[in-house]
Amino acid sequence: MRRFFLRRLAQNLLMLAFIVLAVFVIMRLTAGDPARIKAPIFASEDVLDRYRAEFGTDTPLPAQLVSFLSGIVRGDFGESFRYQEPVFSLIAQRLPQTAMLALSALLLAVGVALLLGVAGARRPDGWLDRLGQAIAAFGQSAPTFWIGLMLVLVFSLGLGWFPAVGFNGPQSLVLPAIAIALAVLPADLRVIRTAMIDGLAQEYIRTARAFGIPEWRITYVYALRNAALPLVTVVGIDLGYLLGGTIVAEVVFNYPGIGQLAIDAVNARDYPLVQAITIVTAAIFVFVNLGIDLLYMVLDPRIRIEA
Amino acid sequence: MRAPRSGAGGPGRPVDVDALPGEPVLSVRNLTTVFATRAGEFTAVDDVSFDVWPGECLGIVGESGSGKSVAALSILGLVDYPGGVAAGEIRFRGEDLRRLRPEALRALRGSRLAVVFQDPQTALNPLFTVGRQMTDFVRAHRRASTREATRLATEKLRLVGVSAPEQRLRAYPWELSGGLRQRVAIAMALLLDPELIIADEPTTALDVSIQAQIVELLVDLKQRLGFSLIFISHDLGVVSAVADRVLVMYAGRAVERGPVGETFAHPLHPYTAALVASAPTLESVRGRPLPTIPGSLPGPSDRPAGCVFAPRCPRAQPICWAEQPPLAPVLPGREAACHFPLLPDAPATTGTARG
Ligand SMILES: Nc1ncnc2c1ncn2[C@@H]1O[C@H](COP(=O)(O)OP(=O)(O)OP(=O)(O)O)[C@@H](O)[C@H]1O
Ligand SMILES: [Mg+2]
Repeated sequence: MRRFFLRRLAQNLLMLAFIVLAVFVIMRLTAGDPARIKAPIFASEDVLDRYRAEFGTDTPLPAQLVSFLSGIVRGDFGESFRYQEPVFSLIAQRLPQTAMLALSALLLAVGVALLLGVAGARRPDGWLDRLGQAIAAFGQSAPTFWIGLMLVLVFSLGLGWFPAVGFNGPQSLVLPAIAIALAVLPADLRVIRTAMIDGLAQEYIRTARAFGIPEWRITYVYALRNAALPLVTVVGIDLGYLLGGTIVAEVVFNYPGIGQLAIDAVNARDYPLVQAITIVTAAIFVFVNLGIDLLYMVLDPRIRIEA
Repeated sequence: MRAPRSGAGGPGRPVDVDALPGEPVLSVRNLTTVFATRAGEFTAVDDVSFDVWPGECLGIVGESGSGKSVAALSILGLVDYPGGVAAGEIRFRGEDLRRLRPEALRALRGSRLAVVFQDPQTALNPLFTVGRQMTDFVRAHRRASTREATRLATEKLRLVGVSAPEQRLRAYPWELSGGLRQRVAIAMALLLDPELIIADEPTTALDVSIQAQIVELLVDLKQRLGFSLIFISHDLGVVSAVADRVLVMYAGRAVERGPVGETFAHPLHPYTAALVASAPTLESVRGRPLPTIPGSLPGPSDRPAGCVFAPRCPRAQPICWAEQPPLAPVLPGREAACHFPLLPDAPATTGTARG
């Protein structure tokens, strides 16, 4: 089991290294000259050169790569061209906001999917099952930005229950979290419902009933345990999606998260910031997946023994 | 209905249920279990009655699909959707289980009324250790610390002849051999000292060599612990080794009931006779094909109006097709549902019509 885990860790670190390199190369090849963005439109070559010297984009590419890599190793991602602040502190401000939004959305989606999926599996075609199918169909067909706009129209401009934009307290999380959750809910719901139907049909569930295990325990411990692996898998996929989904929601709701920061950074050709955001996001993704692999091993004794 | 006790079974082998003193542990009357299928209603268990007495083992035999398992599940109140018990009484120690509140029935299952299923590979939960499952079952019924529950589980495992029980408790079911798994399943059934155990083909999924061990174990446990046993099987040899009396089922109906030895030695119902004739025995010559019962179980749509066995019965007369014979006493302590039962003194073809 430890060997299995270490191998996965090594694979993931290698992948991360590759991403770092790719980000560096692609940025230089495609993003153009940041000095031209920062400098006044008709600035002379002299002025541009001064900006380039300041940004460090005047040195040859290999030299830039070396200083970039040695920076990363030290945890120093450089200074943002646009904000003239350490990239690290910019990300440190925004990341918790995004994490909070993404986790709220995930909890909401998984919570609702569990409730409706379990109910739907226990009573297929019951009204809760139908409600779940309807919500899933809606979430699947409506794009996040449209749902976001509709939510703003109804619940903030119309009813005035929640703020439309920005962040001022937990109430600002509600609408964007719903918009994002609706996007991941359909897959979660389908997976949980199917796994629960499968779980409840297992013979050992009948055994548990025959031995007088209470019905709630059979559903939420025995059958749900059977659904744990697919659930963890789909949550892993959700997390990948959330990285993108939050960007859309952050833009629609003008929410001060890392997605907004990323879009600003790209528009400003702010190499250090774009690089750092990409790498941090990729690292989160990689480590979340590693965590999910680990959860797999904990959850399924058969994998645990074989590995 | 009351027939004199034959006494042929000797003490501890109740022969005539109606003449025994005391109360039966389980008394099933007119049990009818129906499944709603696309083709309409299908009666899997049709008007079946039987008793199980303290310390007795009732065998239930019959071809695959004759309704043995459904009958067992009906007693436990575990018939799955789209099925359900449509009629009848299931009295356990005098209490009608069908009228019990769900919570009371749940409390009964696993404590006073336990079950051993056919295939321990699928009946045990692969995601939990043996110990976790056993302690869970204990704690569904009793306030017990993990420690106490584990001690109880260890004790029962030892009782069923599992060596190093503490170690087995930490194992997952799939880490154990088939025979060991079934011993674990039996230990689970014994956890709370039930009064009645229903064993639904507990040996069918096992190797032949292990079957005998499990049968021996059940017989021995029953003798020592004094529980009653319903033993379901289509292996007549196994049933005659375990059971005191036997109930023969065919297409959902009880066709014969009586002491196991006499019933298999001199069947009254032609179906029982066919079953006995087609059963492999030690004496049956190797290589010689076993006689099989011609025809097959009637499906939901082609159940005859009269006797369910009429289409396959060599002795069927017009009345058999028209009129359903009730399960009725034929000889002392023995009942059959047949218009022309195979009476020992009568030649095989000239039975007298009853009813
Ligand atoms: N869930 C169900 N839906 C519809 N019909 C069912 C269902 N479960 C059982 N039956 C039917 O009930 C009848 C009796 O089945 P049962 O399992 O009791 O037979 P059995 O005597 O136990 O056979 P076996 O020896 O194969 O275990 C069968 O014809 C079967 O098709
Ligand atoms: Mg069966």
